[in-house]
Amino acid sequence: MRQTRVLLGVVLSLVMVLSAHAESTDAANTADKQEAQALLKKIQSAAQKLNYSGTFIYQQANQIRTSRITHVLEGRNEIEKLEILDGQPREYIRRNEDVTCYMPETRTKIVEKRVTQDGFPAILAALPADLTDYYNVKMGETGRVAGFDCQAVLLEPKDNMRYGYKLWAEKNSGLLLRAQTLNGKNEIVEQISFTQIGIGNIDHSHLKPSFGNTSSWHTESSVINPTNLNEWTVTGMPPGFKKVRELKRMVADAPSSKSAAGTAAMRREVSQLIFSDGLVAISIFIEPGSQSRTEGSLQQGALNIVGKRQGDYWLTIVGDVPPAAMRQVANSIELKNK
Amino acid sequence: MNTKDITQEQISALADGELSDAYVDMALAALRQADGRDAWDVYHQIGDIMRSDDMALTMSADFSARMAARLDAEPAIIAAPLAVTLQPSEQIAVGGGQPVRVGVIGVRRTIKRFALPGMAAAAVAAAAFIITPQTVVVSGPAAQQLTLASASAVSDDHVVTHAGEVLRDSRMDEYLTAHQRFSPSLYSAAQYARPATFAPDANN
Repeated sequence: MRQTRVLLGVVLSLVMVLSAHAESTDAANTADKQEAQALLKKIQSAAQKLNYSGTFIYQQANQIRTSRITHVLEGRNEIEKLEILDGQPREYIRRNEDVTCYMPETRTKIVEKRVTQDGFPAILAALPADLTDYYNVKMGETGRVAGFDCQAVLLEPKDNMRYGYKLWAEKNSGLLLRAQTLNGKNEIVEQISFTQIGIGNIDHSHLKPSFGNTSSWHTESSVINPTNLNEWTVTGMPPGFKKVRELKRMVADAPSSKSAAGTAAMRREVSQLIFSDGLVAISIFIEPGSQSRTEGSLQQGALNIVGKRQGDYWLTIVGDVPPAAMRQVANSIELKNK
Repeated sequence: MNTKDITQEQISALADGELSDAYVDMALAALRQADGRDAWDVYHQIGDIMRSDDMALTMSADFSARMAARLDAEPAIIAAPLAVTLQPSEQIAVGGGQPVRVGVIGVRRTIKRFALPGMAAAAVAAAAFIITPQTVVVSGPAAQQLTLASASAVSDDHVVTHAGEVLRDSRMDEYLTAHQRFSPSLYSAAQYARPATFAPDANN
């Protein structure tokens, strides 16, 4: 379900931007851009309207994860099941806006509203109409993915503050079958691809959770509180990144093994600021810095993480942007004196 | 069993914190040999990987030496006890799972301490004691009060640094999950595939 939502969001953003700017583009590129636009539109509706079921593999740096997604449109209801096939079993079943996460080892269900339904319009509303100022959008090569002929669309960044993307869409249906993140040297740093997929004629019984009767499972709902974090300023955001959300949540630390018996998990409040250029996001987590931690950074595929202390606070910055952009952001976060 | 088997069994027991005091000297002597050190490293690697796929790292060749050197360079804050006595509950660490046996010929040692993930950190801390008795490594709440200058405290509550990197821990996964939930990134679906993501601590 993440997948669909994500594809949809990428495509929606691009389509809006492209339609707004198609007229003003260079005549030589117009045909190509219009073609790319049409394909992105097709990708968008395909993810929502088609029935499909397939296995995809995600590669980030040296890690690989496999998942299976089944998407069905029943009348006007969208139902989607995402199964995590590696590591701990997880299933996410979405019926329109309602998402349930099944965690068999603790017999727990987490029920929540689909966040990005709010998130995406919010991101779109905040989306600068000038996304093409930051990315060149053009048609790429053709190729074969998971047995299907595909057409690629390229999103090339115009600065070194973001990665580039190559999206591969199935030629007939427009379904996105492969996406790749490219760094400044045009190397793939992260990619996701179907290895097998069936389009149309999906057995609806695949949409049920695989764990039998889960009515006795413990149910939790995840609650997030919007908040105002205007006292925090970030002056070093790369161009095009706008604040799309600010929220607070309580996070429970896993109790340490020594204190597990009887001691409740430590709870702490974490604030989160989210910035996005419409394609990717940078999150800044802010919490009181009472615990001893070590500053540093970590890169994992296209995902970068920086942890640093700022006065009495501990900041964790997570972003799908290159290290240069992360450094610039991390060094520009300030708490305004009130 | 020949001498080598016995030695390896003792090393394994030492790693588990289960070796009786009478044999500790023998085991420590064995650790001075390359064979013994290799066995020691292998047992820890097996345990690490059993605990988490994320731990399937290859350490750089001189990791131990550099680690020891850095520990040496630290000020000793409290005099360390010479012998480590584990809690009885930690010695019997066989959980519900199958006992796992090491695949080395003749070595029948059950790797008990990794059967319960929660105990693993404690055991590792204990192992650190043994390697470097001059350094105090405290696990649990005490470690939080005890702020070591270079933050190399081996504790399950800390983000342990390695060459300036913030290493992945369960807390990090929380941030990643929270980030991805609101990110239009193409890869959000796949991010859910992280083993630790959305999982309350397995010890609960």
